[in-house]
Amino acid sequence: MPILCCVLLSGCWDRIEINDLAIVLATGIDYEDGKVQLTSQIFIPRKASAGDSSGSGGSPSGVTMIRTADGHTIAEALNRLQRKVPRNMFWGHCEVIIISEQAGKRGIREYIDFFLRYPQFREHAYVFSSERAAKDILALLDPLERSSAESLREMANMKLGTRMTALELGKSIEGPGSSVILSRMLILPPEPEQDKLTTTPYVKGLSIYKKDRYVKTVKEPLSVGVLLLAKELNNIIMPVEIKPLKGSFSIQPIEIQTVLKPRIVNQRWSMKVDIQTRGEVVLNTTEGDLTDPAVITKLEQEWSAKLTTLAHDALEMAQKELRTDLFKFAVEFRRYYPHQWKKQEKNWETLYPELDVEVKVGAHVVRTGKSTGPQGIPDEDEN
Amino acid sequence: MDTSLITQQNLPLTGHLAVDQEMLSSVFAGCSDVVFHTFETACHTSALCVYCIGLCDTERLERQVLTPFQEMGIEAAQVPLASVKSVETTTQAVQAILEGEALLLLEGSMIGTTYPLYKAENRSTEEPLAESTVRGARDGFTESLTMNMSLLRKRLKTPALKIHTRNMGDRTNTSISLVYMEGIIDPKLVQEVKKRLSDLKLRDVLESQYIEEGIVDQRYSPFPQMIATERPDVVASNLLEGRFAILVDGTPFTLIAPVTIFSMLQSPEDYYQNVFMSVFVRWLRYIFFVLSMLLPSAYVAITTFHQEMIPTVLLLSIARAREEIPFPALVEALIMEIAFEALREAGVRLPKQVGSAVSIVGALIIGQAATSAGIVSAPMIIIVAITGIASFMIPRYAASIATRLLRFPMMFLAGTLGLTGVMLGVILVVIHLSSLRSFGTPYLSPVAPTMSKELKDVWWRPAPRNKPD
Amino acid sequence: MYGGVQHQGTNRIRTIHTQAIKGEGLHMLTDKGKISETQLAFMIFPAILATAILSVPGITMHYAGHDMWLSPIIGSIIGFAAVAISIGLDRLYPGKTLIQSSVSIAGRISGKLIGLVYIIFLPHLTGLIIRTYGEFIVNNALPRTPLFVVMGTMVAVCALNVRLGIEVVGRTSQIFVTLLIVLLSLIFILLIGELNPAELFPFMENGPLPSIKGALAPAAWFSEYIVIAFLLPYVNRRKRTTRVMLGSLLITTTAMTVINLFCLFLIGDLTDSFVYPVMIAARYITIADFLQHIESLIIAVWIFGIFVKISVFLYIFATSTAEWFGLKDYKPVVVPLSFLCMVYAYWVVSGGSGASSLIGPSANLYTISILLILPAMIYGLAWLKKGWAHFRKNQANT
Repeated sequence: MPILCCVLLSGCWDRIEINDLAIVLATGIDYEDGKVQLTSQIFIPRKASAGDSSGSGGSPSGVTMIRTADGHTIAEALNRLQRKVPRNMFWGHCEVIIISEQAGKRGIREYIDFFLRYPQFREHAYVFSSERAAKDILALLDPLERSSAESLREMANMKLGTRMTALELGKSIEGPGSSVILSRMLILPPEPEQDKLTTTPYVKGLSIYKKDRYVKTVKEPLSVGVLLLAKELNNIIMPVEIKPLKGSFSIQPIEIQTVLKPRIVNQRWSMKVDIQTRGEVVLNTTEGDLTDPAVITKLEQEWSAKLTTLAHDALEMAQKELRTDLFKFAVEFRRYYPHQWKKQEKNWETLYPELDVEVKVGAHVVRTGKSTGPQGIPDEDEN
Repeated sequence: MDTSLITQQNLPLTGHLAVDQEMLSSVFAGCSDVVFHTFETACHTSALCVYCIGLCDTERLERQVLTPFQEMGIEAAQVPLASVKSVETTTQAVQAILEGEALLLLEGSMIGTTYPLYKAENRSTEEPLAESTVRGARDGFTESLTMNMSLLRKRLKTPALKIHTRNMGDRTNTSISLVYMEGIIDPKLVQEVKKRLSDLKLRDVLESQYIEEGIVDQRYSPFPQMIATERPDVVASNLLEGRFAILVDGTPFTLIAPVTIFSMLQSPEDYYQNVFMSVFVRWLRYIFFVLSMLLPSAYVAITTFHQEMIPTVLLLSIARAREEIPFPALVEALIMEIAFEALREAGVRLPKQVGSAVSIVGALIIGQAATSAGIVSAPMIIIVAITGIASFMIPRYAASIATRLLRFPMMFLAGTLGLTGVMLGVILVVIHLSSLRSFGTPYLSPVAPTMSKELKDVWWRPAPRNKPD
Repeated sequence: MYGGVQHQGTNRIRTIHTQAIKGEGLHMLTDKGKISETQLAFMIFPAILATAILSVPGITMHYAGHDMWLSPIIGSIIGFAAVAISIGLDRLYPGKTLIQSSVSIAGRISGKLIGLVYIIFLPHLTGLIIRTYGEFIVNNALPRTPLFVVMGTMVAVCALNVRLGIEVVGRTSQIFVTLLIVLLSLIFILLIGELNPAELFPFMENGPLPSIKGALAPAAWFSEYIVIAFLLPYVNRRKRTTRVMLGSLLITTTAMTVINLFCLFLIGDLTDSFVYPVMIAARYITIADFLQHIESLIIAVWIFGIFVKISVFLYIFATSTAEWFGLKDYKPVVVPLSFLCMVYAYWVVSGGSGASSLIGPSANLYTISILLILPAMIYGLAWLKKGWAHFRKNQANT
């Protein structure tokens, strides 16, 4: 009995009370003056009263705060960061990682190793890229969500850009493709009478990484093609025009399926990209009537053509301009032609740009929204 | 047996009334409830009637025994009463008087006659307070052994229901009955029980717990190895399953054995309600049984060791709530649990009128006040409340004691080693339960060792069988 | 229980009751208890799987790549052999454990020598298991707790379990293994959404050899099925023993394969770059934003499995030692032997890198040779002896 008491009393080695924790919600990585800058967004548990006063600003000020530290390596930066915080830094709830394009240019291999090695980090934290410094985004106090980390996470959940977790980041870069696509975040300009920080980050464009270095930013409409081929296109409304008619139809795809079919025939490597999509018309600014099957067929054709163009443009950029296998063609070849892949693995860099890629699109308009014919046309004659 | 307490010597009755009266009054000296009534029979013989006022039905004594004697002058044995007995020694006479019989001595006769006129004040049967059901019989055992036996016999009208009565307790001489169904119960089990009962040397028997502690396999275990119940239908159904029961005079709580932990978690109402309802409630009980033991420790373990397990949103709220609390989670949990146990115990002592109001309002106010004062946090109060509710869900009060007690060592383990500690505690409890036997039956059957036929009663509620065995 | 359910159960109660008290014909064994075959199967399942679940995905991926899921299937052949040998030995020498029958087969001196080999090997293996457990807990759950406390508490609990007898060991394993299986299946079900079955390809990228090379590690674990040879005398024998054992083998193989498949589908090529891939898989679960990071729960559930495993091995060690020394009862030796295992746990490796070398190829061969080849030789010898005696009997008759 006394032994038990001694053991228990001297024990509790791992016990950490919640109020001794600095809960980190998001992490940002910048690179400045030859040093890695690590920023963390820390939650401030202020005891809020039972009925939270909302007022005009929204979230109470100071729900989160940021702390930054730099070092030669990211681990050193982490260490220095802890010294600036009076509580134990707890990275177990870090949902969001933002890597600035500056840091990306230098190569993110170091950071990937850190995220997949340090025990507390979550492997399915979402990774984003940012145009400006990451710490600027982390410093934002989002009016709608509890923190900007929360809003970023929700946006990733809704698949507004690409949905890339740390584990997938590792897989993509270490895989045969050696590339990764990240969503690029910008900061929304704040409302005029708001505080400069009370605003939200938002997705605009994509950052492309080749072999763990940042190489290019891609904006619309090219980014749509990229996402389409990368099987990540989720939130888009496309305007499609039918030639003789004035105005356009806007189609929202309900479902997009991209299937990659590799083929090796007589030493010629080729890839067939099969895109099937079904969409719903959400806006009709033309005078065309969607109950007319001819209109629908024409619409589908135009839409197919548009998608094909987008895909081709994206492929052009990936193959010729960047010479980077963004869409994981390599993985497919390895899966289905393992022997040939083994032989040609080293030549993939030269093989890829010469790859024959055939894009086939099947687009179907399945719904026309709540209305049939065009609405809102003044002085409409009923026939 | 301390004979000096009962009678000085076991003397045979002489024929002389004066001598016998002297002998008996010396034994009962100072017992003002024992009456010595001398009278003359119609045949002009001196007669002595000794009886105990509290235990004997004086009205019938008057009417059926004394009056016929005094007026009609019949023979002692011809009194129109059932089961008239004769006694020859003082010990027997004293015993008979204490059992409520009236002793009649005649001048010149060396044999006394006793008439069974036992009638004592009894509570009429009412619904047991601690074991009420929504649907089901509402009679409960009382303190009278004969009445309890009658409640059982009423339900099991078969000669296979055997009742063995004996006295236990040197000083109290309490009657107890061993009841079982012959043909269903294992005869070796009956032998074992009888052996244990006769080996048991008790000075006093005031409640069935005295006997229970003496005959169970493992005295030092928080888990009960016999069920104590006030309900005759519970006893009856258990007897029909091959168990035995021990009724003790002076207490309505009857002991049943052998039992398993699953008997502790079943209520008779399971069979009186719809199947789906019973199964649902049964599973709810299993879950809450585990919760009542593990919830505070799990909370302490997760919030102090494994914070990454908590959903982020919840963690932020808990962090906010705990910000002002000066105590570590373990201490906070201990304070609240002890306070809750104190409230519970105090609530038992409160008179009925005040009890419910005080407990509800008190708990609410104390909880609210404690939170506002910053002594405990709101999540902790919720945890403690749920644990309390969980422990009330266990049908057998004795089993809920076990979980209440085990909660505290678990909390210490959780505070030291986190979830690992909680799991170690669970392992220790399971080891203990696995090694426990209730009169030879493993405590965890039918789960371990698995008896597949019985298993259906654990996770489902099978329909009562129709065919005779 | 309250409504006149059949009283078949009381007959069973009687059987167990009297058997436990009588313990017929067990005068040679040091424990009078009995278990059932299902309990034995329940005991064996975590005895193989508890440590395998940690390291098998990593090792098999390292050797076999995308074909790693074939390795457990190949390795189960060893398990099959182990089961066959145990049951065969039991048929030839019923009611005797391996230690006792080796004396009967190989003569007094060499039989005792064989027993000695096991008595030296068992604490080594048990110490290794304890150390693996300790390292795992300290690395994943309780970083600052001293290793001694983590290992010591578990060994103390297991010693208590073993001391109370095989019946208690059997019952506790039944309960915990059921929980283990239920919770593991739950985890796998929750992960189904994140899986990518296309990782199955490329298939046989380098031919069948890699999966065979990768099968060495699972085979070593499967050879632990030989513990049956130490435990069969304690089993309440019905006719179904062989079937139950083979069923258990099937289930273990399936479980190992499924675990490998899950790691493959979820993490893909990175599987061997993580120390504990199953942990990473568990950490990946996130359901509706509220069920996250439940790997602590995985650890907790896994503790049940390792508890059963350590108890089984400690029990075998204690009873074997008691039998070897000819003691009547094994219970007094339990506590000193558990201390011995703790000492081995420290002595076995000094540092985490040593631990990984111990699950390398040389260690696997070491395990297999003692756990499989030696019993196989014993069995062969026994078979020959019986055959020889039979032959001589026939000669004498003719």
